[in-house]
Amino acid sequence: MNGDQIQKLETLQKIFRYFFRQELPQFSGELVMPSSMDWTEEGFKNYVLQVTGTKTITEAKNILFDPVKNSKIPPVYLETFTLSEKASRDLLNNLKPEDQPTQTVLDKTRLEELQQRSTTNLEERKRSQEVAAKKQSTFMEAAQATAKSQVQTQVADKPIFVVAPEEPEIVKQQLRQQAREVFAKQIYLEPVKQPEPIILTKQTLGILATIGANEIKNSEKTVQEVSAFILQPKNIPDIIKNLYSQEEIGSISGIVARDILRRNRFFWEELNRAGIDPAKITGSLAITPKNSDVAILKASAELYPETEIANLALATAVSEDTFHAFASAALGPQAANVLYGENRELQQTDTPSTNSTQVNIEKLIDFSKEAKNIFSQNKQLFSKGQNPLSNILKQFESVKIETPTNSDIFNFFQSIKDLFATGSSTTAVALGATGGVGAGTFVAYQFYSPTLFSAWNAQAVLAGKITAFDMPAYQTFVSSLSPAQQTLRMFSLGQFTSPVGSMFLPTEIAGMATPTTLASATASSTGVIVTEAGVVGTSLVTAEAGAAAGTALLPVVGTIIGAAVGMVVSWVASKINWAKVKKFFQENKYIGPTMVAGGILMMFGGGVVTGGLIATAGVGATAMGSGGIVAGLSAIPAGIAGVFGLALATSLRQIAKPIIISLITIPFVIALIIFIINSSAYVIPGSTSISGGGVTPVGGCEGVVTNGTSITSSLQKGFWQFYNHSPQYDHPLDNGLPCNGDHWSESYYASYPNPCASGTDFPAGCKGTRPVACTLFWCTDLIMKTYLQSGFEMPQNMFAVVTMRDWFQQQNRLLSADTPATEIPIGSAIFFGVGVFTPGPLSHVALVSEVNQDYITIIESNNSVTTRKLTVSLNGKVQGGVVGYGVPPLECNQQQTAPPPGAE
Amino acid sequence: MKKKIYIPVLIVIFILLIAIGAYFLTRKTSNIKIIAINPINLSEQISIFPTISIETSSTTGVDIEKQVKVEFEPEFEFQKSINGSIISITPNEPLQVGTQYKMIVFNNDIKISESSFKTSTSSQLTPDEQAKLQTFLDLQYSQSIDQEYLQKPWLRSFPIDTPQYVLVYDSEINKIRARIKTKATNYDVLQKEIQNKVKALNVPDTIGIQFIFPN
Repeated sequence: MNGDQIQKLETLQKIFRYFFRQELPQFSGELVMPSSMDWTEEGFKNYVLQVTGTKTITEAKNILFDPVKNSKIPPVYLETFTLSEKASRDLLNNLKPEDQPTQTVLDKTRLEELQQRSTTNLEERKRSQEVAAKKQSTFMEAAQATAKSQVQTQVADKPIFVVAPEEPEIVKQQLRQQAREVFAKQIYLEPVKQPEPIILTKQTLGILATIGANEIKNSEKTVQEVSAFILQPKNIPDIIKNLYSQEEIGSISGIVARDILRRNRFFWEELNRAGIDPAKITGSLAITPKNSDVAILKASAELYPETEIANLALATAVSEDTFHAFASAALGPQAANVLYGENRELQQTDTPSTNSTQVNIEKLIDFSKEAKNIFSQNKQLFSKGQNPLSNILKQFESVKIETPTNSDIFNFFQSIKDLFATGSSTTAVALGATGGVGAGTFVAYQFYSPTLFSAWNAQAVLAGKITAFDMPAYQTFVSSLSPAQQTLRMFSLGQFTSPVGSMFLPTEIAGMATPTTLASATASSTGVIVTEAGVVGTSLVTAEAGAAAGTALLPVVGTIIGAAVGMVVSWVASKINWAKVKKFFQENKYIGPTMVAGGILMMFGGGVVTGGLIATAGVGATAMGSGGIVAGLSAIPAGIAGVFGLALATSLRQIAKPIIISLITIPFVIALIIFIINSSAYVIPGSTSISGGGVTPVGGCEGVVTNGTSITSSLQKGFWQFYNHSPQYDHPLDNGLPCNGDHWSESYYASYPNPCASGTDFPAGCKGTRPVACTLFWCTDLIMKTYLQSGFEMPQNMFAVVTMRDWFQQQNRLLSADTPATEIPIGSAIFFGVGVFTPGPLSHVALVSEVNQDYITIIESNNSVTTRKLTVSLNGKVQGGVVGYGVPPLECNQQQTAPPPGAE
Repeated sequence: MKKKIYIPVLIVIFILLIAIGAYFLTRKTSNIKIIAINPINLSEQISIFPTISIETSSTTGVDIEKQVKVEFEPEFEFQKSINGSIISITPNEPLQVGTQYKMIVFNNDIKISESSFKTSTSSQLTPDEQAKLQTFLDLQYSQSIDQEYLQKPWLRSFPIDTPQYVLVYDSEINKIRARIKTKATNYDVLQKEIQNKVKALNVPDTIGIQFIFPN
């Protein structure tokens, strides 16, 4: 058909539809036939039947509207079909849009025309979508601009930016007042649709992590260097090049590099310095690949250190499994999904959160004041510089603080910060959007690299999304910003506060005002509306970056991690006196919440894993410090036990898990607790025990006897009617757990109160096999726990006296039985052989609590008595079957309380 | 006549010799051999609560319990049980830590096997092994103290420490040692008081009192 014929065919169709529309129900609407139409219905019918060679209108329709059949209509009919020009034009022009015919004419030109139209439609749709997306993406900006304008109108226009330094109080008062006015308006933000995330696969991240890990294997590298290395074209496999743009890879590589560096350079090395071999901890993870992800890592990099795979695996397990469970319990499932992803996949949710809440500005200011006061008490306690964490910890161990202030804690974190600040290009220290003593400093010391910042900018996300969690009591703490900034003097606010936070903070303030003059004020004005922002792509990427390698191992983690953790547990738990920790958090209730706040903010700020750790630790701490003391306390030692699979209460386990990991993977969390312990800071009348009773341990040599007496005085009779039940080491909720939390087995005692000690009937009437470790409080336990409470290094798994004796010998701290009593330091372990007067084989140990020239006093456990006095011979030798002494550290040996022989 | 007597004697002797020979020839014990020993010879880091087993080649009807003896150096008491051809030995007490033990197996006093093993050192003991060991030791120690106190019930009363004197039992000299703390011109009253006190504690007269006066 030519164009004229096609046109005539279309006209025929239209007229047909006009007269016989009942035959064409697919055409909706009303056809308005122009008045110029010169056909009658009868005349048109006869003509159509003729043209189509049919006898009925229905048959004619089937031909006329069939693109194939109508193409066979003899052209002559179409050529002879006539319609006045006006009628034809009117007909076409008066057809309603909905009556536009479908393509019923098959023609090349027509096809081309339609194709062109289709393409145009697609482009239009795309443009439309882009416009819509742009509208959506600019929604927040508009909201921010509006709010910022409000703030600037009321705050920024005031001459406060040029106020002389001598008038800071005035400035602050003005700002506070203005901030109150601003916040009184209850500005809320609606969630905004997040920009499209870079969809990453675990494989991609795993490969990149592999590349980066290789780069840092044998040398010190910065984040930028590792990132740059990853970015090198030769290093990027085609599979990734084909999937991502260079810009996207740049974003990812920065995150991956940072993640790798942080894990491998910092905490694993520090664990190493602390005597914990990361390879041993997680080696089993690395050698147990379960699926293709790990296989990819393995295959793609023989160069990939096994431990790094393992490290990533462990971190992955932590971030994905544990924290999601924890966050769900602590913050609610919605918040958990926001934090970790509903399915914990690299997929951004499109569902915006509708939760929003408002900070109580008055409380915010109060908290700000409190924090500022705390910082103002700052006295330098610990040396700064490039101290590795282990050195810092050693300082803590050596420095005993009578009444440490929170400023000491600040200094501690300052030292930690210095640790992070190694490397020339680790420039940025993000303060996050929180402050306070606890989380504020934690967040503050979380360092970010320019690379990472640029990565965030590139993706137009992050920069510290303001978070929300269903814990209204903690919202105050989330918003306290400036005290930490004031003291730390780090980045100007504009660089690290979130877009939302910045909205309330005029840029001029951040850029011009000094922290000193505007500290409190900015704290007020930067108080932010807390809003769930939904999962940010980059945040998740960060979380998943390290996770990539190890996610695959999740199925095996559950079974292996307990063992892996256990190795660390003994070290960690040996450092911790839970009573002190408990007391610390009770007396410093803001620590826990701020840790929560800071941690969560860090998650949004890029440090998902770390943030999660801190947050979860914070919740645990909060539980200890607030109403959930029992739960919190139960959680920690239970968690420390590293037994994830035990049938603890669900909520308890959920709390315990992340705390375990926190303690393991975040050295400064560990350090904080160690600091609390070693500082002897929070001495209060009360309990050294989790379950109550006793006296708070006293550190140092002078504390040994006090601590030992505290333990023995509370001993109760247990197995064999011996004093081997220590309430201090009988945790009510961790019965059956490994030794760290419990040294008393209720179940075994209930079944076998008189268990056998040998293959014969010994003791008489015995039933049951020999008790295993931690079933009861052994004689050796008294020494181990006393020394532990006193801050002395001592392995906590020496249950046999022979093992303990040999340990003292290895330490060159074993004295012979002939040593004069007056040369025996109090606090020494005194070893006995079987038999009172004729010592036989080594069999028992006690603690020397008092020495004089006629007798010594010992205290002991797992015996029929808890204290005895042993005669000192005239030659000074102690009688009673003594076979040797294990003395405390050297400094204690020089303390001699006993008078010389013959003295009165 | 003499000839007739001599012959029966020879016959009896001959029969006896045959019987004795048959006895020794049919003795099954001589056939017992050691198939396997656990712990194997020269093994180390053996638990102080070992499972010691000796697999023999004995057959049904052989009284292993009586014929086979096992000795250890250093010695320790143990329980022996037989299960078929396997002898199991369970020490009554924990073995000594880090000690080389020699195990000798006798069959009717004939040494048929000698091997040795070394127990775990103190650093090689598992926590549970340590605890089990300590169970025995603590009980043993406590029992020894109880026995001493049982024999010397007055011992629990010492030392006695007052502002004037200190009384202790000195086992090296088997006397009550009384150190006078305060100087005086005449100690007779104080000495008498101490003697009465010691006597009131039912300390045997055979245990004297040694007085030590201040310089």
